[in-house]
Amino acid sequence: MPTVHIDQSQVVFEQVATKDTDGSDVDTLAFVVPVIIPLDQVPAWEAAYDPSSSSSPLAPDSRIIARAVLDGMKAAAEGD
Amino acid sequence: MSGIVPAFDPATGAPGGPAGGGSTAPGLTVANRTNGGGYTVTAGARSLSISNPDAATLSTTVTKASNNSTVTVTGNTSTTPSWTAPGGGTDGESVQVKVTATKGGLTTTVAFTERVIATGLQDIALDEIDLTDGTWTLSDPDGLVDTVTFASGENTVTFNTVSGSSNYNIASGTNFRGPRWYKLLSISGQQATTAMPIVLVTRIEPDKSSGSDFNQRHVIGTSFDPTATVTNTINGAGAGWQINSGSTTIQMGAWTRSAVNLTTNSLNQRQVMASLRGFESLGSPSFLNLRSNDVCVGTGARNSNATAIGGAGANLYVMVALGTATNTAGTTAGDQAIFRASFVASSYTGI
Repeated sequence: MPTVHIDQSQVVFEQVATKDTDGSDVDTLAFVVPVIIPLDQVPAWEAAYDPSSSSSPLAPDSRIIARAVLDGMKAAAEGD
Repeated sequence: MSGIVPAFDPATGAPGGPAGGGSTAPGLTVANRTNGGGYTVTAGARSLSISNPDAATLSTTVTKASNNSTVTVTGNTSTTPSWTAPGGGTDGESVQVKVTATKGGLTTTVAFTERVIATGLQDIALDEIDLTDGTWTLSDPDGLVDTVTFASGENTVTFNTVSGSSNYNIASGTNFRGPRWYKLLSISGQQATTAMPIVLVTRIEPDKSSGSDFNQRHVIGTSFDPTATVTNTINGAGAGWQINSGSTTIQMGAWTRSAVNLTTNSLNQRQVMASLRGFESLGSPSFLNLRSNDVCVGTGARNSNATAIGGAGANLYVMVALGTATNTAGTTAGDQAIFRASFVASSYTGI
């Protein structure tokens, strides 16, 4: 199962005004959580994801990213 | 022989008046200074001790060599005039001091130069941004600016009425049509270019004495195409700040091209930002947000992620661009943006 990491010391709470992946505007107060995808994990993640399928990636794979991001956010929000 | 005979010669102090009875220029000496001399001093308090044996009318003037501006002299008609020698900055400075004694239509002058040594790389002073000083050019594609004034270090820009649009939000959409002031970026007299590795340092201090008139978001930084209306063609990087309508909380942070990252704190008062660029690429501005008591309450940076942006050695400009923080709310006539700002840039070789 592929992995990701969080650059925890770089998690910040700020006003960020930028562009989303699809080019749309993002302009909000937010936690910015940098996700580290090791290069050797990229093929596995790409294989696990089909943008045209609404059920992709599978729940277990999704949970890996979700938990990492939410742990990063939670730690920052709680001042850990 | 008739008339009044002086009791002593004012030039020599000898009794009986000047030899031959002719007029003589008043005596004048300045302690440790000679006419035509050159001296090195340190920045800060300066004073002279003048000997004025003939009780002539004294005048001391001090002029900066860099721009011929006058330095205020306290007690300029006394025998102990004083002034504040300017800082040497990175290039050094000098002042011309001229002391004159006038009596009976005759004048004696002692003039000399005092050189203030450069401070080198320590304590580099930033240049205050005065948008009205004649060095800045305003590009305002849609006529948002009504007036701009400068007083007590603050720029006050008063806006016309304009409807909300992504065109005035530098972090939205692909176009930016907000007003921007710009001028060529000179580093100790050398024109900065996109090829040259440089660091721009800015200080911003938005006015938050009253609630913001509108959702405002502004930037200060470098660009080689400051009049462009396509945001990424401006290719700017530097500092940004935002104050939401009705709020006195300043958000301050970093700006790269069409994005900003700003940290929010109700105690934010001012910011120092450093932004590297060169080799036809943008660097990543970083910043410290400060309280009024010098405590830092926020740090941050934004990766420009922008290499090989072009420019081909084009001249760089420093730019102050004003706009809105939302796409739906514009400005109404009389809305104001008020801020202090300053900047300095340095360049490097051998990299």
